[in-house]
Amino acid sequence: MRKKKKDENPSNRHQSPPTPPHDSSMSWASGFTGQYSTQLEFLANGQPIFVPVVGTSDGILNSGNPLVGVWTPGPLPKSNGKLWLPGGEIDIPTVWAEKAVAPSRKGLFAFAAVAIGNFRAAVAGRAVLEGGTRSALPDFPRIWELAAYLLDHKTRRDVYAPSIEELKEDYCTTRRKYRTKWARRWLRFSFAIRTIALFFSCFRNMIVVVIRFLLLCWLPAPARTAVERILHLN
Amino acid sequence: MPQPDLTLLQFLVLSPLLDGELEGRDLRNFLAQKGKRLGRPAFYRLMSRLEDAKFVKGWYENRDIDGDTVRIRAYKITAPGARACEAMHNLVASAAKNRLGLEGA
Repeated sequence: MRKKKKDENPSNRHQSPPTPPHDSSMSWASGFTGQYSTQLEFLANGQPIFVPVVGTSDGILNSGNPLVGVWTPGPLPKSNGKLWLPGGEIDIPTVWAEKAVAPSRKGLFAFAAVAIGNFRAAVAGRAVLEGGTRSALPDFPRIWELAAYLLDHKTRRDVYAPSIEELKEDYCTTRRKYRTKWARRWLRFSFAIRTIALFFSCFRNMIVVVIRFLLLCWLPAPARTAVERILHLN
Repeated sequence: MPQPDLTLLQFLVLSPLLDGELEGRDLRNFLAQKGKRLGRPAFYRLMSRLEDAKFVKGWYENRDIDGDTVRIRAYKITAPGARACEAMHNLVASAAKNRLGLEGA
């Protein structure tokens, strides 16, 4: 999830505390010292949703819609969250809650009324908050992208870059299917291995080009072409 | 016999581009279907050479996957590429014809 805007207006800090969510038996934590207003962006089923929210620093957040509220008990991230909807409560596994919140306020998130239908469907299908809430690509082993700078410019631009983009596409597509922590760790590990293999393959490719240049540069063009054909260097 | 501008592998990779633009992954799949499996680096090296020879034009297309943008390499054949492909096609066809003619004799 990305936090879109934070209202730094000091007047917002002195508003009355957010009201408890509707139809909730859980009480709001007390003792907060300040509150903030902000706008959060979610992607539910691929649709961006902007939700004005009011929250406090100790883990309470109230959505712009009084009928929709989310609360995650205790310091965050910790345990399952609850989503209050007009029809009742829905438990939210920690993974979802962690994905859905801003890094500084883990566990807190809210949805606008327009999102409820989408969210219910997503909860039923266990496909909630896919992507968009947080980019999948930071998980992609960046060190192996940086390793590309060991390659020469042409290899990096013409060979490594398109290959790595394909790998990223694979990664993003595959990551959608697996949600548990260990599955995703395994995915990261697997793609790290694949990226290493790709890097070495590109490196070998670069070496072949250099060797070919050194070996064949002294030959006239037709002979060079013939040797390349024989050795399948094209 | 005139020397073709393309190798058989280059001809193979150019031929589906005669029908329109294709992404790198689709081209690799096409080659795999034809029994020529290439790894990503080898494939993109091949395409890079074709680009250097101005037989194909490559560019990146942005694709959004769950909010993440990945750049997909796509290719289209150029006029010199199409001509080289056609010349290679004619060459292969005439060679096949000659061979058939010899076998028939």
